[in-house]
Amino acid sequence: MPLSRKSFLLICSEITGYSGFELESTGLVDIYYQLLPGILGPQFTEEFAKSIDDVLVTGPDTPERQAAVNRVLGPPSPFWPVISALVSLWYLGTWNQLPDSWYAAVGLALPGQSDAGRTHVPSQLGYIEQLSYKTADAHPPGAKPTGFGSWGWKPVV
Amino acid sequence: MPELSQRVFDVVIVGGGVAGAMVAIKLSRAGKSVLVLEAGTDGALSPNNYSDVLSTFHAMGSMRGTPNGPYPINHSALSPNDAQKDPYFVQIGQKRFLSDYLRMFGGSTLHWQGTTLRMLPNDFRMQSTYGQAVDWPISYDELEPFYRKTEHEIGVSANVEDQTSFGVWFEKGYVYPMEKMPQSLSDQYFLKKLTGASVDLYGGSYPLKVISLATARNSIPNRNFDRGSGYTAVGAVGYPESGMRCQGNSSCSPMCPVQAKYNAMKTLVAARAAGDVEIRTKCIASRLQINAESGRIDGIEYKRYSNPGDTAYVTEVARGAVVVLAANAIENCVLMLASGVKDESDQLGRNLMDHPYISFQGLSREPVFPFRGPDVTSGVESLRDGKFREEHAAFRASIGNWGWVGEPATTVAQLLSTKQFGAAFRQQLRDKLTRMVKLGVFLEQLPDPNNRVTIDRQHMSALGNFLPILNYNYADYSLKGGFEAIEKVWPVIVEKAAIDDKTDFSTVPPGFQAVAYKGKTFNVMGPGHIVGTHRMGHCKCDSVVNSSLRSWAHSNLYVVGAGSMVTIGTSNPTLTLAALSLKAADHILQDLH
Repeated sequence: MPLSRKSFLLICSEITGYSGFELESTGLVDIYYQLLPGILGPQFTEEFAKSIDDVLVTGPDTPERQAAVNRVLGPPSPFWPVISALVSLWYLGTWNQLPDSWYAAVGLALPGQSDAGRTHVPSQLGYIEQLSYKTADAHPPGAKPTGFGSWGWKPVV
Repeated sequence: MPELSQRVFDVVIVGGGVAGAMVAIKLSRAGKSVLVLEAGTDGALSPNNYSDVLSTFHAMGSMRGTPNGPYPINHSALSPNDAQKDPYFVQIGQKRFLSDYLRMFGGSTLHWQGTTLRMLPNDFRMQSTYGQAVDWPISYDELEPFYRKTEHEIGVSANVEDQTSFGVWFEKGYVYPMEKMPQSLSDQYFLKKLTGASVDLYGGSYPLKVISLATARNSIPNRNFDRGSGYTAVGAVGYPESGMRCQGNSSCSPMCPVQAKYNAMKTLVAARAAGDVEIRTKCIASRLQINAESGRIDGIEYKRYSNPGDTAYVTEVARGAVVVLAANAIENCVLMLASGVKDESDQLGRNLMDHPYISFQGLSREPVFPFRGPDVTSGVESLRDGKFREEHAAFRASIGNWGWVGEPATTVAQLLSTKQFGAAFRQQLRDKLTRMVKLGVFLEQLPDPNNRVTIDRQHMSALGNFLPILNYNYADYSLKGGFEAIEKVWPVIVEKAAIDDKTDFSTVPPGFQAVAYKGKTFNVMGPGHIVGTHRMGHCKCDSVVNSSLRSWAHSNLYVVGAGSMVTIGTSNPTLTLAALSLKAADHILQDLH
């Protein structure tokens, strides 16, 4: 079964530490949701979807949820490299190519220069809405300026 | 046979950057005819093109690279850029020359940080005062009126009270066009913690003082400016309502999205509007035609190409009663050497100087919320002069507001490599990023004849122009200054400001190189301050131009820009080179009358 948008959003919330609501406000959910299957291939995407559902059957905001996330998606699970790259994507706007060992393990060819799996910035919006600067109550260079003089006082969040 | 220009301009200026802009605007307002030849494109001029550069900047993400990064690469007139396959410079020295510049209409002021400090009186008389380097043929006092004019022309934000140290004086009642930029939380943190702090260096105990910087960035206009005339900020070219005040885009280098930061396009466009100024881009000056009898420059041959990347070109000749070279300290020398400009001093191309730059980083005790505002709004400015200059380099230290080099990407990767993710990752990232402090130390270099620009037929560009060959190294004078900064100054700052020191010289970041002094290895980079290669002086025996910036050998040739500076001091050179250019413009006007 394919990965549903809802499941994708919920798991992104778990791994980024931001609520689904905050992630939706970036406008990036659809872009990143549509990007993933092209990188992972249909078979791995299906396995990934099933694992995510195994996690999401546990109650939200419970210790069981946290344990399931760590067990199913954290290292040394085969999904960890993808989770790591997804966190990077949300926080920095850049998709980092998955390790060669991952490609070998799942039996996929390494991405070419214009393939979705290569290291690249998939969307200019991803640069602008990246979570890293937001996490520090700042903003990405060259976008979302905080106003004249704002750097002289504590951020008003 | 190169096509002869029909028109003889009053002045032909080679180079569409800030030096050329200052000459152009002065002459244009005086009713003279001016031709500006720029090697690069005007690819940042129109609002649409400028917007494209911004999009490129966003699209590069955390792989931003050098200050030239988002500007389009032009293989017909390459800019130095280590990141690209064609590095442009031919490096033959013990160390690489790390600074870069941008060959486009507007020049390096498109990507500069915008710090505009005046030089100190002692910077002009290093030999007399400290027995080091060479004295300038002019003093701070003589340049002072031109500093004022430049501060007006560029639009500098500062408070006079903060800028008067080490004998830097201002005309009574002078105020800058705009008020100083508001100081950042990092500035305020260091200001508070370093009160009363001092460091022992050769010659005594020196205070550590945090002072706001003078910058070419639109701030609150000062209603008392110019004896009550006031000042109106100049916004973006072609879009003047934008950029009238800094908004805190935090991307000054490589580009200000709204052009609140000064760039030379503003002045060049104003010069064109003010009078008879023609600007030709994609025209690479290749040879000065020198009259064998008179020694005057009869014309400038230049190669004109149609599109960036073209190897095809046509050769044309521009003619002016006066010729001004304003293509920067390296390009000016390449052109003069290629043309066989007479140089009795043997100083042409020599004395290449920069500010070796050391980056210190740490975590503050309480959050200072960096990554906001201009990169630099204040610095530790109290070590720019002192008796220690008999022994080692002086330096200034900018407080950095943009966290550490390579962040936040490095900490994101580091946390992931230790298997953190989710809420814990977010919290740890926040805790670290919000406390990142940075200090950037700019060390002075003394003129060294072995640090030089040369040319050779073996190294030519695609269009048949000479490539700059650079022979560069750091002398003990500078390295010892760096050593003192690391061993004496930074530890005092770390202790007084309760910094968790995270400076680590064991890895060489991109754009830096390792140096060593007395067994201590550290990393330096080049902040784009290129100075000294066609210096001014009292006598044609030891200088290339006189104190009017006119060539000793060729009576209608002026050579402006930072290349004419004799020493570099510790200030970022742009304000000084622009002031010298305005001074030269006065002399050019006298010549034309």
